[in-house]
Amino acid sequence: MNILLSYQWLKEHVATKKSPRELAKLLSLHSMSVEKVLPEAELLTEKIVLGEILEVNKHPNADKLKLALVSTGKEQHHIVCGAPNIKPGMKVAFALLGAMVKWHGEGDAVELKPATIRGVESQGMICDDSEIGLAKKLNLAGVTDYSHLKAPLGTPLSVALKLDDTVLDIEITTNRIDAASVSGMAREVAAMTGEKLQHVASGKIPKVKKALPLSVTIEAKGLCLGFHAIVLDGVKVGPSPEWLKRRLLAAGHSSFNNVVDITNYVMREVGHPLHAFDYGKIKDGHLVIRTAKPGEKIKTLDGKDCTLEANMIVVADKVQAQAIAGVMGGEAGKVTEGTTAILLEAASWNSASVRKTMKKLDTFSDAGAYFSRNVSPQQAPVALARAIELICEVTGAQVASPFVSKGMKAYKPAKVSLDLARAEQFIGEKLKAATVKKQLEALGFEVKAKKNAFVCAVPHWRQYDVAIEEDLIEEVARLYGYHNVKNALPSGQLPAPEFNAQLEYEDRLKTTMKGVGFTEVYTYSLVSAGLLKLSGRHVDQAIKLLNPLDNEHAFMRTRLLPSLVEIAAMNQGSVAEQHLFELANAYIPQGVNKLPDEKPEMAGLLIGDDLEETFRQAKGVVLHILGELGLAKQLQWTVCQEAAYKASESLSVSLDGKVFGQVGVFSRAMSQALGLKKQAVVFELDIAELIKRVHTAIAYQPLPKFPSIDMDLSVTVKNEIVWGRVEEIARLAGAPLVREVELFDIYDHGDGRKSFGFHLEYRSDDKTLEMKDVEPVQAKIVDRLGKELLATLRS
Amino acid sequence: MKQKLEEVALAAQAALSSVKDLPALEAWHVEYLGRKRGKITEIMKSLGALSPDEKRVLGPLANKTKQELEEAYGKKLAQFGEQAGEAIDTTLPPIMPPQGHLHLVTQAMRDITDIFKRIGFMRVRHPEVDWDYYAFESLNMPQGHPARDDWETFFITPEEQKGQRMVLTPHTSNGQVREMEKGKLPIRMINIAKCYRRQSDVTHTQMFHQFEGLYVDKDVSIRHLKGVMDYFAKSFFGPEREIRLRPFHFQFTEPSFEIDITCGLCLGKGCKFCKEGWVELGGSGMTHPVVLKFGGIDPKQYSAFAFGWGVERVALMREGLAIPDLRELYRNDVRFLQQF
Repeated sequence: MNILLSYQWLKEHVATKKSPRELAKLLSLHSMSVEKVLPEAELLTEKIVLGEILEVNKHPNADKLKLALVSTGKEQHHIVCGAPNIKPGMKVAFALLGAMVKWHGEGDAVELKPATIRGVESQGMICDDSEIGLAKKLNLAGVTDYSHLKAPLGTPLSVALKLDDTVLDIEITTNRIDAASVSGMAREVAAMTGEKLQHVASGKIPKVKKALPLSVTIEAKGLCLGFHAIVLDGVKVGPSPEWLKRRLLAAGHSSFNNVVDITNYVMREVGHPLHAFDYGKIKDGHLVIRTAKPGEKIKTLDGKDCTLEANMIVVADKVQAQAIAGVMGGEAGKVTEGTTAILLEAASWNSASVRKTMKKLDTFSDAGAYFSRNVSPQQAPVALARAIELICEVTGAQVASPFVSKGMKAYKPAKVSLDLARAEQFIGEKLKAATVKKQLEALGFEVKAKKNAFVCAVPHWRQYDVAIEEDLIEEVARLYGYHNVKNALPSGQLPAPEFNAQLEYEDRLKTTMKGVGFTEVYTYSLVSAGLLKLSGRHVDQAIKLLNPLDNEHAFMRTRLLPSLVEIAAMNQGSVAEQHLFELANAYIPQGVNKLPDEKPEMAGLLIGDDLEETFRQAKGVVLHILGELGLAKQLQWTVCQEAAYKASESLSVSLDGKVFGQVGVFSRAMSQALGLKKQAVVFELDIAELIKRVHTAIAYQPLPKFPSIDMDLSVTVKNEIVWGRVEEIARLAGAPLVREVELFDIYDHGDGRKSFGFHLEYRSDDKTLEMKDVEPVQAKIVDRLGKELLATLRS
Repeated sequence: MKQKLEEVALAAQAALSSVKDLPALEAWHVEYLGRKRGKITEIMKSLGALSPDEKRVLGPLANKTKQELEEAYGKKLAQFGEQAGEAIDTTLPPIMPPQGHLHLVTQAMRDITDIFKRIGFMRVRHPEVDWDYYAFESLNMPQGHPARDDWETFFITPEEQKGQRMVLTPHTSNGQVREMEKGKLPIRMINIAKCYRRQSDVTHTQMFHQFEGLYVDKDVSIRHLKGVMDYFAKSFFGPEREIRLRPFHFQFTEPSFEIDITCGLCLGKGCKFCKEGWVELGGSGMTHPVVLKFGGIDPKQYSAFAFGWGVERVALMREGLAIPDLRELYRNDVRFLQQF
């Protein structure tokens, strides 16, 4: 949660000599991060000045618009204006060309440029307060009359209004709600700088002059941690004074009326929310804190109808729920102009309950933001006292009941011990005991020295945050300054060496794939029901998200391949050839009470011009990968039975009779389902299992002693004859002299016949071969090919 | 004879210097050094008829002369040989080897892994679908703790179900107690994995990657945390970069920090792309004693620090890439992927 902290307001609470910028830097280093340092009125640059209206005339083409002549001292400006209340002699906020303004108080500020409005040129703009950041909402009654300002025309409005405050935008961490206020931040500043805190509240509650009935019953014990209330009579509800409006604006609040504004003011100053009811609307002046009745309804202050649930807490009178506890007051008891007496309360609520209620009702408020973060119950009476003081001062009200206080337990501070030597070891720096003590005391801890330790009594505003020694070390360390701690690399013993083959080889294989021209993709492991179904694996058992963000990402995938094909389909419009791969986990379900098996897989996809050629490339890539793992020699191509592949155009990757992947033409039906127009050749490898079998020992092969003889052969066969048969026969018939059979050409005769051209390498381990040794073998090969495949020598 | 040798050598040198092309060079070689009728060859052949004394003088001289001329010929030949390359059109476009591309995330992960390996932090892998216990409870976030709300977690099993709740890990911190449970100390771990959060907009993707560091040993201090963070920042982003720690709050570390690094554009002076010269890197802190206890480690004897940062975040920050929509990383348009 972020707060907007007025520098001038802060200075009322701590006598700091630091500039806003210096404070911002110090706070970021020692306390809470200051995200922005802003002038109080950010849009009030020198381009927004005090102007006086000289003339107002009708717009020739529009009834609701007027033409005005505005003087800014030396210059006069003709402008078009829609404000209903402008008249000659009135002083207004005038934006010169180039100023930044928010049109109708909405959206981002934009630069003001000359404009032609309904045919008339406008050279500037008379601004509503909301248009220059001085109010939150557009005032429909008209622009603010600044005639009371004495400054000469043309004076920047920020100067004329003396708006010279600075606002710090501060991120308050969730555990430190005590710092989300002016007084809380003042304490932080005092601890950092050693400067003195100043108390602004008198803490005195005036005596009752005439007592009106007020009683409180807490039924929801345990959920209400304290309820304090008082009645103020003789309230004159009206607009807030300027100083109050300015403070609230700086803190990011709209101004409603003096009573509501003071409750907000106190919330920002003291850090505890309060609420004011119209006393006249509370039956018998009696409030009950209870859980809601099932289905109970309440219309909240922001006009929303809420249906409550049984575990939600309400503040009610005998008739109805008057507020959702800790979240928002009800419309029924709202303070209005007609209100003459108010029931002012400050309470404290179970934070989890407030949080749940806000979530369930989808209703959020500033008060709820505080209560859901564990504000100290002991802060409630402090806030109430301050609000009583201010409301009496500003609205002329008088205390009209006793101060009723129910349900707050007496605070017994926890005592946490801080061993200075341990703190020094933990931080890695030497500490000064006296400084540590002084700083902890400035934060509100009561510190007593005991042997080698400080025993620290935790102040009530830190009761939920500080419980163990490490919490105190944090306080000491941050005030010492993390930037003052020197750097050092660990010098301790190294962990036992461990080679993680899985991670290592996954990384190497990615490099291999890059090297052979593949582009790596990263697809979501969350897939749609459709994609899961196409995977054909564990479709019914796959891990299903309870709360998916959308249907496209509702299951943990059990196979990579469909995602990859989807990506290829997405890219088919922009590139013709594709070489894609992904190496990622598939999540294989193991039943409801077991975590899934996270199994690394690799999938590849190739799209090229010629399907057979592309298949050969894919087959080559698979062989290459197996080679990188030292498994190429064991590889056997076997028949593929995977549904995603066409059986006659695919192969399985097998080692020792077990299948570890496949390569082949992707099923046409599935391509169509995924929107892929071209035929793709894909491959999948069970990387996890293959890496378990990595064979890294290198066996030495003696180099051949005798030279080889290379022969070429070209045979013509029918188109149905596959190369594998030719090679097999050549090897069998040529054994043992034929060492390599290497295809170098395929020629299609166009008449149902094709020719294979191939090299044969002959070698003997015993002698240098001569042609007379080779020729009979070559003839035998030709003979066998002729007999078995009806192959003829190509003429 | 000696005079003749010198004359011929001189003439040969002169002739060679005026040779303009390869055929003329070959002709020159035949004329002087040709195996059959070369002028030098002939002189050398005639040396056989001389007396042993003359041979002793002229033999080496003739050899030296021949050698010098062969060398000069060789130089000239090399010179013409290089000129002979004119038959190739060197302006033709190159034939490229296959151009593959690794995803930006892989590249960053690799660099992260390498950097931490140098200071003894080894990469490990822990589950991406895990029990609530490891993702939250053992990290000092018991059931119902408000801090859990910060994670926008995807759940697999309902809350009401008995036993442990299964979640998609919203951070890599689930690896902390899992690593401790291995029972081996000291620990220097880097866990890199996919994480998932219920958020998808221009700055969030439902799936992303984190790297989690954990160091457990005796006497681990904030000083060490700073040392390691600084080492990483300088290695990954460049030696001119500095880091700072800002106080922050996480449930599983105490104290907790946000780590900032000096802005890559202004190097800490302050510009419109940073906060007063600094940009946020990620969270870290000294491991909370409760977490150590959950991992079976005595917080009185051991201390530890941990950090968990976004891989995408540091990768984009380093490259200075302003990708307007982070989801582009996982859309996999090849025209995007092939830029890296």
